[in-house]
Amino acid sequence: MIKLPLVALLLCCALYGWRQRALSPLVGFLTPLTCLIGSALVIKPEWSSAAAKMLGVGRGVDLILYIWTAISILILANIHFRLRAQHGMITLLAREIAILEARGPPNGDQA
Amino acid sequence: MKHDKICGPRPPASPVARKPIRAGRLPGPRSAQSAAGTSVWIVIPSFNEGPVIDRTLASLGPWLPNIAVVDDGSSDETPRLAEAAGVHVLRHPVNLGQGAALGTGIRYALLQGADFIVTFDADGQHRPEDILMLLATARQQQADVVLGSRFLGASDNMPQSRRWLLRTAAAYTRFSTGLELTDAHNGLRLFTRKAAQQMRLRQNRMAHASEIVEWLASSDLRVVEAPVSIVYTDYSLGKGQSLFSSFNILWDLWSSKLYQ
Repeated sequence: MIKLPLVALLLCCALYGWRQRALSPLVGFLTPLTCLIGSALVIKPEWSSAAAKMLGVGRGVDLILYIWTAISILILANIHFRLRAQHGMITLLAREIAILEARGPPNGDQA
Repeated sequence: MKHDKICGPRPPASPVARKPIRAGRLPGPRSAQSAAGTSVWIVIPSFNEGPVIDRTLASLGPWLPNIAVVDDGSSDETPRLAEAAGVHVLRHPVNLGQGAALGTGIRYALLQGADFIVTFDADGQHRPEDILMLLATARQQQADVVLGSRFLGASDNMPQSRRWLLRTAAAYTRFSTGLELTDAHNGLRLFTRKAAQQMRLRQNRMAHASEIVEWLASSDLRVVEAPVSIVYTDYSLGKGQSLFSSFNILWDLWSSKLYQ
């Protein structure tokens, strides 16, 4: 019965990734794809062994570990991009503050 | 926009115009007064430049008061010294990086009605007289952007490792953008109002120099290189970029292509 919560968790990850496609198309498409593959392997564990054998990974459990690692990296990348986007917004705010509070020369000379 | 008044009619676009044209040294001394009739603004990003900022600003006396120092969250006396020098001072509430400071300064200069905007490093490694060279080049070559090149001009006391690093960066820039630049990371540049209005800097930190070149390569602006001199000091070398920084720049450039 562990399969059900695992698949639910992976589908949540897939949904999360899909919703990020506006910020990063790479994360938006690769995360759901990887999560769906992971879900399939949870439902049909024998597929992981067959796929691992085909890919030359070794054991099926290793393949699942690699897929989980890939999902983690994609989510980390998305957090990185989100931070960068927020940093961009902070820059715009800081720029407006700096311009609004700019101090000219004491004699008020302007160009 | 006074571009036509200064430079005359723009020549028809040609494929050759996409390549930077190297300007020669201009004969005879010229003064800042030659810029009369146009508004030239000097933008100086600064971060903890207390030991040198007053000397740098004093050397730019002829350009007063059209100098905008953008203090990028310094913790030392930089903003106070800049204010005392009689220039315009803008302060970022937090440290954002040189690219962000340049963006702020350029935006401010545009709001002040600048016709030409020159970016100038705060650490004293640029020569004020080179600003006249950039202006003369912009007029003579009818350029929208003039990029200073230390490899066309002179660079005193440049360490061999720095020379190698900058040559490599220029070669990478030529490869990635197609622009035949000799110096891709020189802080001394001139933008006409038209060019500055088109510029959208996303890179807050040191990758902004490469971002500017990439933008220029994809634009229809006329880009020219001009010889300038860089005087390296222990101070400027200490503030400069290391080999490790170049990896950060590449990471910032590449990763920025993966998100919007």
